[in-house]
Amino acid sequence: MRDITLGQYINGDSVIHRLDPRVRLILTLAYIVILFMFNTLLQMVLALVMILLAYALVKIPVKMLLKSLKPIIPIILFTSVLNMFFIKGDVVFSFWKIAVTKQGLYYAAMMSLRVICLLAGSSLLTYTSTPIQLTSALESLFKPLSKLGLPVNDLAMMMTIALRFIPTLLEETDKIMAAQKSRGANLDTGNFIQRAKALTPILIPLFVSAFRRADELALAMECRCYNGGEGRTRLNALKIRRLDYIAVAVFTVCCVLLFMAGRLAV
Amino acid sequence: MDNLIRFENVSFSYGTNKVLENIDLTAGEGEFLAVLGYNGSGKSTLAKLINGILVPTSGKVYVDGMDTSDETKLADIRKTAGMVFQNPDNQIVATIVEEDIAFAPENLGLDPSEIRTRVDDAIRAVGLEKHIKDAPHKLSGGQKQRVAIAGVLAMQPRCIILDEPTAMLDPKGRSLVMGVIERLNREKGITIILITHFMEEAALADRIVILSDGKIAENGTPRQVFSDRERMISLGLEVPPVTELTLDLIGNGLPLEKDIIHPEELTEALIKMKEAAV
Repeated sequence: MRDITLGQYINGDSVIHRLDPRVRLILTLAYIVILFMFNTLLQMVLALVMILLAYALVKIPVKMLLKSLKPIIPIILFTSVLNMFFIKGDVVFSFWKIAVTKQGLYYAAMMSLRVICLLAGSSLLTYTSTPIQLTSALESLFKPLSKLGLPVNDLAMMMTIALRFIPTLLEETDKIMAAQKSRGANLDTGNFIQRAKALTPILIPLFVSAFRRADELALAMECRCYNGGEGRTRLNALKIRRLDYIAVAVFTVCCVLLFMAGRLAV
Repeated sequence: MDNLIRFENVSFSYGTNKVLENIDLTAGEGEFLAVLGYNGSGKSTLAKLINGILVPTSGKVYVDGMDTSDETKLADIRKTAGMVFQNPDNQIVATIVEEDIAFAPENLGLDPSEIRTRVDDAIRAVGLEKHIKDAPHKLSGGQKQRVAIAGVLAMQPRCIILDEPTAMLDPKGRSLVMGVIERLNREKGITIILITHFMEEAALADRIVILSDGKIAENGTPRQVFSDRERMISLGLEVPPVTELTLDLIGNGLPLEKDIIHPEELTEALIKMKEAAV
């Protein structure tokens, strides 16, 4: 339990790793948005090529990407089948009352590619960013909202503390489980309801201890002059560098080319 | 020595429950003060009164001349007198060692370059340079406690209050943490107020204060305090193991001084005795 890794971050030193996390986040969001603006199969294929090139840059093995795609295969199949059967148009072949149309096949392929690109794109973000980087990126991006009264700094602090305490509390859960088992608690047998009930003597001590920890942590933070997010500075302030401008430029050029490809196809 | 910390006739009670009564106490700049007392004698309350976590029910506490009941001075008081707690897990805020040490200077609104210098200095002072990028939960208890000390050091305090910092550590972690505490006192001249249950740790201090029933029962050098074993036992405490051993040896007819409190002193005395016998 001690070696738990949060998220799917893969340590590395690729160009994408070295980008400012804010840029990575925004480019990922932009990529997702354009996926929904494309409406030709050619564009979708090119979008897939684009994300695969990005994966090549990070040197993430294709196997890993395939593994992360596994859980969504049912969704892809389901939408594909629906599209194939229910879109009317030129019939390719038919049996009984069901007809598969050319348009149906086209849209099925589009949808599948779109979902695959979506997942590949968002996975790339989590592969190359630590949770802390994402937190500080969000904090920085939402900063303008603090003028509207949203406690952005405090929310980021909460997020950081939550991430910090996940391994600690997991370890504690292990200890409590061992303690209850050693006193004869039966945690592994019985039906679903019995097992859910057996969790009570684990959850209650865990909650009590979590509150005590929270209390002590608040005290320790106060002793270290924490006074809310106002006026705080950061050790590792986020900084946009030349590499980030280049990345944005390359991404924009790719997008423009893809849009033009859409025109050509029509 | 100037009085960095000053208690003037301080009493404190939780509701009707009196915890501390009429405490008068000072700690000078650069002094190493140990506070002893059985559980519930008011040690932790005393510690929390120093940096304004608690405010006296009556009387005043001054830190470098600043009154702890003055809320406008609270940030300055906490910057001057940092505090380390018993459980290292519950005082580490960030997921990376260096970011945790940077927490206090970040709160003070310092420049990133200044924060970097302070973090590097603090981590060097506790000897954890190798772990600067590690996740705190992967460190040992003693290492975590040293991270916590570094986190306080980064405020550049003149006084550090440690509330049983070694209670949850194994012997190795304990001696490393004590080594750091002693070094900070000797080399950086930081005032140390160490609350502890370990008599051998208290023996390292310049002065020992013993609390009993919310009052100061003893206030003197370790040698003075530990020389009266019966008094220590009546206060619910004991003398350091080496003093206990010395008294036992004296009881068995060895001509030793009664006020030995450090293991090295006993070694030296025994070697001398052996040489005299030869």
